[in-house]
Amino acid sequence: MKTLLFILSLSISGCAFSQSDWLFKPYVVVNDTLYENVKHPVFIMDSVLYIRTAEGVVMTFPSRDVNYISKRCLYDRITPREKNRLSRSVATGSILSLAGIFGGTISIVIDLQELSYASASSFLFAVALIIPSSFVIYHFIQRKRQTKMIIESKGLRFISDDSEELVRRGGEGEKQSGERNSK
Amino acid sequence: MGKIILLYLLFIQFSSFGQSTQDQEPVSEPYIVYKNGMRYAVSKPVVICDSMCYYINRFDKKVYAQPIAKIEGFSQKSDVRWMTYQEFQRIGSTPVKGYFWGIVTIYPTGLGIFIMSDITKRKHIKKLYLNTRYGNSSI
Repeated sequence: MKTLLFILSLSISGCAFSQSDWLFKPYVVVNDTLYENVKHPVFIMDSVLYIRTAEGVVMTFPSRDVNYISKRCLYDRITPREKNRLSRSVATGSILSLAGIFGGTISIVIDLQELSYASASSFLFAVALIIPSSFVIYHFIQRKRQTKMIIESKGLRFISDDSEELVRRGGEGEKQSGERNSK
Repeated sequence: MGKIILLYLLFIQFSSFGQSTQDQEPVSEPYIVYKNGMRYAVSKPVVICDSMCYYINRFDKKVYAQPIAKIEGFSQKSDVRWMTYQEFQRIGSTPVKGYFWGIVTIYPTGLGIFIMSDITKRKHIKKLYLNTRYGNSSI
């Protein structure tokens, strides 16, 4: 009876999994157009959907035109409060989180070396250090990627060449023209 | 005679050095690239707020505000921050807390460096805000 129940639950979960879109790579459908293999993160901010295609191009769509976002996109909706957090520095937070992961790993390794097994308390301590720190670092990385996508969506790009080229000193030579910010 | 020739060569060297343009020199990252192809060395971070880009020129230490329509892009290490005007105003109008010796004394060296890096960047953002807010930015 137990075996039957086990097989039944397994087949149900297998069926549900095959019916869902977890099998497919992340995709979005916008205006009946399919965009496959989009990269993470996929997010909506100010009623605009931001995606990065497999070719690395950032595309934006009004959220009203979005038909479907697959589950594997793990899409995020950025609230006005979270929007302000995007610009915050992550240097100190990152180093603290890395220290947490490092500390947790060291704690397990020491236990394994001295006792040849990890005691429950030290294992819990290590997990309590490693898992939240990993989440924090993941969020920092996502935040950086989101900021980069927002900047790229404005038509700006990041130049990756390392060559030293002529750089003009500001205020001399060509006059920089622009509008004075009146805010 | 030898000394005269040496002196002569030295003068030639000086005169040729004097002919080179002083407003251009090779500089490494971070930099900002304009649509007209010019590159300007900048201090981290570069702020993008609304439709404007704010940066501090690394040579003359002046603050520049440019519409993003004129800008082509940035080097990878420019640490470009996109922020809302509210956040820009908040950082710009609140005091930056943290002093070098205090941080070096309290925190371990590694952590202290990262905290100092955050504080320095925050100070730069504040400078950008104050200069643009009160109209001192070079345009």
